[in-house]
Amino acid sequence: MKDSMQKKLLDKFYKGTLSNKDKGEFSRQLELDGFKERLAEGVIKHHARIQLKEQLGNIHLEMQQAEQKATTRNYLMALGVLLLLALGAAFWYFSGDTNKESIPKEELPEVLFAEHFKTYPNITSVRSIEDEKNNWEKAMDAYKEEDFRTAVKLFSGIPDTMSNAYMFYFYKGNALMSIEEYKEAEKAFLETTKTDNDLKIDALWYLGLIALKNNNLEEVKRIFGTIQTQYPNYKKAAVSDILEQLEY
Amino acid sequence: MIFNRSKQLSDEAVLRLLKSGDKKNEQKALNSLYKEHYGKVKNLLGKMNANEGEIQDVFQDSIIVFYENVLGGKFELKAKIATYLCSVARNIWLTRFKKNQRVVSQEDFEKPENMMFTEDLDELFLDKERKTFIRGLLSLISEDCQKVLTMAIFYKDSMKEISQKMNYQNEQIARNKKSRCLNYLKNAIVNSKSVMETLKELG
Repeated sequence: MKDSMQKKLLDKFYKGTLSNKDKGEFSRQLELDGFKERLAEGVIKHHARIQLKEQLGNIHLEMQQAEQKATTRNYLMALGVLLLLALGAAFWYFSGDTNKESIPKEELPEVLFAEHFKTYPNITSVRSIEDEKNNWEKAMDAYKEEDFRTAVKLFSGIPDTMSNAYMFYFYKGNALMSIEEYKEAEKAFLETTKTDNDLKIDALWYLGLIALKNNNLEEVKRIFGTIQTQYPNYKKAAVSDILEQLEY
Repeated sequence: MIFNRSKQLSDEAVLRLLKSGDKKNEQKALNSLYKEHYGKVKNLLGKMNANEGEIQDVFQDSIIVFYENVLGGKFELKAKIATYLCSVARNIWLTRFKKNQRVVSQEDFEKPENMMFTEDLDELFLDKERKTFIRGLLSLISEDCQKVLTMAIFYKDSMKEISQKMNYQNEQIARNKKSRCLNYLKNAIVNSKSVMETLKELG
């Protein structure tokens, strides 16, 4: 039998397509050494393929496990983030400001200051008429741009003889606070409080915050106590909070 | 799909490792091949309505075809390995498709340019019974014989390589061993009554 015929017979055997006639031929061929050798070689080849396929199957399994791990890890991470957010939100919602209980007492004034200090918004309407008012206008522009250092410089060039000087001191105080010049800021706010004006209570508030920043608790108590008594509706919750936190 | 996207080997590196004849290198190359190209083949066969299990099976057979061509010196890096694997996978899938009596035109079959398949793709796919039978046959010879014959016949290792891997003193010993082992296997096939009966039944 020709080589090609033997090959065909073996191919049919591996494919499982031997006819009854082929089976007879297959049995006869098994007597021949050449055919047996071909069969043996085929068996070795197929066995190697089976082993290789098992090896590839293991790689696939490994890859799937890595994928599952990554998916689980991503899922857990997402869950963790959600849980943290939920816990944070719940804690914040239910505890109100009591979270400050965990803050060391000596750090509390600083924390309260950071929490409550915001520069006063520019609600002025400045129009230039004279030269000195030009500086005022520029200063407020810088203030609006949150360029507080420039604002402070420009405020310093404005004569305090203006009719609305209390206002210029008030904004100057805010600008000074923003660049952490608390001592100078205090002076500016005190100027605002010297007269009866619409920003007096606000200046008092900022003076209270400066006292907080300076950890001058007696002054904090005095100023916020005054606000609470004389202006009971002014920043009511914030004032109460500060006094309660500091156990007054 | 989130598969390990750690740095994979270049095509040249994969070929070098597969040809090195070292088992660790082979594992490294197969790992890289699998992880780098499975997604591509999955996309391709997915569009041809293959399910996950079928894709896995076809992809693994494609790698075997590729590997055998590399070992047989029939693979040249004229195209990317990815292109080759996709082409082989497509043809294997279409062969099975045809087998399942679904109409496929001859034009659907492609052969990658300048790359010959070692043999009929169909021959790769043994049914469960034949796999069991082959495992049974191999169990009739010693482990050393299995190794030597696999190296000589499947991996096409030279006698020098076999003697080095098996720690034989020289190539002649390897040659003799191979010849003896092949005879063991042939005799095992013919002398075992149950093997002969199974052979006839399987046919």
